[in-house]
Amino acid sequence: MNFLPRISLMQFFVLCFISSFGVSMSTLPRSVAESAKEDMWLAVVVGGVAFLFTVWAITKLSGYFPQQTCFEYHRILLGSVLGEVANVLLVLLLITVPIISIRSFIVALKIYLLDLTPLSIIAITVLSFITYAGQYGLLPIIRTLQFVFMSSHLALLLIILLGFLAIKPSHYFPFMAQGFMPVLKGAIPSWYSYTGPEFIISCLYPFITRKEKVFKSGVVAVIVLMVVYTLIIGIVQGILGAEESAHMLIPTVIAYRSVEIPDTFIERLDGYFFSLWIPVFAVCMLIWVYLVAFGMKQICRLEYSRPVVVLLGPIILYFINVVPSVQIGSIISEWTNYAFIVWDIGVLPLLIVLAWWKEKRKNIC
Amino acid sequence: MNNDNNNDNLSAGKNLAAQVKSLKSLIHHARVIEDEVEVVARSLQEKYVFPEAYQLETSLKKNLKTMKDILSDSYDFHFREFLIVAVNRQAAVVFIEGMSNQELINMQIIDKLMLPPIPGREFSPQDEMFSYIKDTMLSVASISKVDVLSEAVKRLLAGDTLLFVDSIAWLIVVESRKMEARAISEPATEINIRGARDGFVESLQTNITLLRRRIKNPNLITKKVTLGVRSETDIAIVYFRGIVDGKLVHAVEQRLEKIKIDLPNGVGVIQGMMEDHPYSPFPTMLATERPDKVVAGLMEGKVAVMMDGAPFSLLAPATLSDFFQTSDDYNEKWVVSSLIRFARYISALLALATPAVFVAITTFTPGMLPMPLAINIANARLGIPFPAFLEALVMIILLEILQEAGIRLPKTIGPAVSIVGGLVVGEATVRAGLVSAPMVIVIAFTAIASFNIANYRLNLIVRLLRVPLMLMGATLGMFGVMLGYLLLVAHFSMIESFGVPYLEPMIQKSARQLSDVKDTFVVAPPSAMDERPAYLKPEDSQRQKE
Repeated sequence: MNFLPRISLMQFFVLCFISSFGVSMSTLPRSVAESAKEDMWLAVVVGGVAFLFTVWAITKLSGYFPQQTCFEYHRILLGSVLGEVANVLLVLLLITVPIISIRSFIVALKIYLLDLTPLSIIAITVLSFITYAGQYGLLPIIRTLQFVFMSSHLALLLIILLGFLAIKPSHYFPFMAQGFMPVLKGAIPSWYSYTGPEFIISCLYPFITRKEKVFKSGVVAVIVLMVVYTLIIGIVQGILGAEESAHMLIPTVIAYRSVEIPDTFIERLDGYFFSLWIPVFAVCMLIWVYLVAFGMKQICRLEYSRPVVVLLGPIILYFINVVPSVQIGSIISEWTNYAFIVWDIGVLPLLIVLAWWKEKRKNIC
Repeated sequence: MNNDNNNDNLSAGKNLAAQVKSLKSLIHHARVIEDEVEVVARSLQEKYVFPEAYQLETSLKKNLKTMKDILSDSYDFHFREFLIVAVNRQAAVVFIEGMSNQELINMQIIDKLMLPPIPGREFSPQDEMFSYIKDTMLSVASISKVDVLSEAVKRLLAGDTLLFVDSIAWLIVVESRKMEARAISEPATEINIRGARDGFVESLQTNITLLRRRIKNPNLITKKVTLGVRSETDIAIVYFRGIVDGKLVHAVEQRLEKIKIDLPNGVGVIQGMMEDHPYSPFPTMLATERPDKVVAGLMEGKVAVMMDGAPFSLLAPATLSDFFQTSDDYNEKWVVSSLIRFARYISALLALATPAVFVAITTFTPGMLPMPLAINIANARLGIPFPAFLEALVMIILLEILQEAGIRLPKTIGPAVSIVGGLVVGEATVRAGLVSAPMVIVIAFTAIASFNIANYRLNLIVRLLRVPLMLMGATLGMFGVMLGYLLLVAHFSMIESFGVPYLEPMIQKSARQLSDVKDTFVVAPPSAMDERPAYLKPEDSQRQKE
C-alpha cells in the first residue's frame, strides 16, 4: 500500500532551511561583493526580504490547489500540453541545481581537502549517498535532514560564529557610499541562495498537515536563512574585505582558512568548517535530487520515485563531468540564477492570475 | 623332484592366500551390506511421526501401543499399568521422566486410584467416569479431559501425566510439570548498581512470574503461542491491556504466526525472523534479560515476546535510544542519570569514530590538530613501518581478539588475559616499533568508550562498523568519515521497528511530541515524566494520574 506522507510544520521548516542552506554559502560573498562592495551584507538582507514575496506567491498559488502538487496544477492551469512543457522546464531547472552545486563543491574539496583525489571519485561518493538515502521516499529523507540539522548545521553555525574572532571593523566601511543601487544589484545574485522553499511548497504542499501555517513557517525559514547568510557574509567581509571577497573563487573557505585561534585545541577553523560543510551540503543536494525525482515521477505518472532516484545518479554524474571548467560552471550558475528569478517573479505571478481567474469563473458558474 | 614338490606347495599356498583374501573381502562386503540393510530397516521403522494421524481407542492395550509407536524407544518415556479398584478398570499412567513430578504421580495419582472406593460413594454405571475420578479419587489441582491424542502427546511432552483408562476413548491429563531450572540470578549482560538483581531464566513460567510479581493487575495479558514446526516451543506474547496499541499486538501476533521453522534455537532466531529489516546490522527489537526493563516497556505500551528455554525477552518496538537506557538511570537522581546517559551517547560516537577520525586527520588533514600535538604524533610515527590505517587495523584486530578471549575464558582468567594483552602486548608492540604510542592510546580509548555502551548487541555493531568507517577515513580523509556518518544517519532514517521510525524519539515529527525527549538524551525528573511516549500510540497516554 502506498501511504501518503504527512509533513509537520517543524519538518517543513527544516526542509525549507536545508534546501537553501549549503549550496551557495561558499560562493555567495563573491557574487554579492562584485556589485554591492562594502554593503554586501545589506544586499543579502534585501534579497531575503524580496524573496518573501515568492514565498507568499507560491503559498497563495498552492492554496488554490491544496490537494495537488505543482506538477498537477500546471496541467490544470495551462492545459495538458503547455502544462507538461512547464513541468519539463521546471524539472530541468531543478536538476541544474545539483549538477552545478555538486560540481562547485567537489572542485572546492579537491582544491582544499583532497588534492590527489580525482573529481569523479568525489562526485561518485556524494551521489552514492544521495542515491542510497533518496530511494526510500520522503519521510526517511526528512528524518535524515532533521538529524543532520540537529547535529551538523548547529555545529557549523558555531564554527561560523568563531569567524568573528578574526574580523576587522574597517572592512565594513564606507557604508552606503554609492547609494542604494549597488545594494539592489547585489540582491539579484543573492536570490539564488534563498532558492528552495518555493519548490518545497509547490511540490510538497499537499503533504503538509497544517496548510494554514505554511506561509508563516516559510517566512520564519527565510528570515532564519537571512540571518545566517548575513552573518556569513558579514564575517567573510570582516575577514577578507569586500575587494578581496570579489576576486576569490570560494571566498568563504578562504576566509575561514585565515582564521587562527592560537593556544586552543581548535587552532585553525578551515578543517572543521569543511568537515561540517560536507553533511550540510550533502543533505541539501539530497532534497534537490528528491525534488527532481518527484517531478519526473509525476510527469511519467509513476507510483514510486525509487527507480528515478537510482537513474538520476549516473545522469547527474555525466553532466557534472560535462562542465569543462570552474569559470563555465560559474557562468551556468549565473544563468540558472536568472532562470530561477524568472520562474519566481515571472511565472509564479502569472500562474496565480490564471488560478484566480479559473476560481472566479468557477464561482460564477 | 624336490623342486617340483616345492613349486606345488608354493602354488597351493598362493592359492590358499588368494582364497583367504577373497573370503576376507567377501566378509567385509557382507558387513557393509548388513550395515546398509540395518540403516534402511531402521529408517523404515523410524519414520517421522505425526501424532495427528493417530486416534484414541477404547482399548487400553491399543492406546498404549499407539503411545509406544509415537514415542518409539525413547528411554525417558515411562508407563505404569495398574487397576483402578473403585471402578474395576485397568488403567495406565504415562509420563516423561525428568519432566514430571514423580512424587505427585506416585502419591496423588497411582496411590489414590488403587485405593478402595469411599464407603457410600461407590461407582455406579450412571456415574460419569471423568467426574467420578476427578471428584472422588484424584487429589491434584489441575486435571482435564482430552479426547484428541495429538493434544495429549503435546501435554505429555510438556511434562504432564496422561491417565489412560480401559474401555473409554478419552484420557485424563494431570498437570504434573516439574522441570529442573536454573535459579534466578543477576543478569550477566546487564549489570546494574541500584536496579533489581533478578534476571530471566530459561523457564517461561518463571519468567512470567517475575513480571506478574511486579504488575499485580489483571490487565497484564500473557498469550501463549506455539512456534517451531517440530520443536513446538512455547512462546508468550505479553502486553498491558488498556495501554498498548492494539495494532502493535496484532502485528506481533501476525509476524509470529508467519514463522515456520523447525526449532527456534534462541530468541535471536525469532528476532531475526520478526524484525522489519533482517539485513540491517541494527536490531529493531530489544533483547533483555531484566524483568524490570520488560515491565517498564510494557507500561510504556510495548509488547514483550518471551520464549521457553531462553533467558532473554524481546521488546517491540525498539528504537535507537532504547539501546542507551539502563534500569539504573531511573534509580539515580535525574541530573546524575542525565549526565551518564549523555556520556553513553558520546561514548558510542567515540567508540565508533575515534580511530577513523585519527586515521583521517593524521593522513589527510593534520592541520585540524594543534601544532604541538601534530608534531608529537608525527614524531611518534617516525619509523613505524605501516601506514596509519594498517597500524590502526592491527591494533583493532588485537583488541577484538583480546575482547573475545576475555568473554570465552573462565571468569577467573578473563581479566588476567585482558591485563596481559592490554599492558604487556601494547607496551611490547610500541617498543618493537610496530605501532606508535598515540595509536595505542587511541585504540585503548576506543575500547574503554565501547565498554560504556549499555547494550552488548549495539556494542558489537559499533565494533563491526568501526573498520569500514576507518577505511573510508583512510581513503577519503574527513570527507570519507563524514560520508560514513551520513550513510549511517540515512540508514537509521530508513529503518523502522513495527512502524515506528528507528530515530524516534530523537527526531520528532512535531513540537507537540517534544515531551518524548524527556527520556532520550537526558533523563527528566520522575515527576516530569507524566506521559507515555507518543510514538508508541498508547491507548492511555497519561502515566501519572491526578
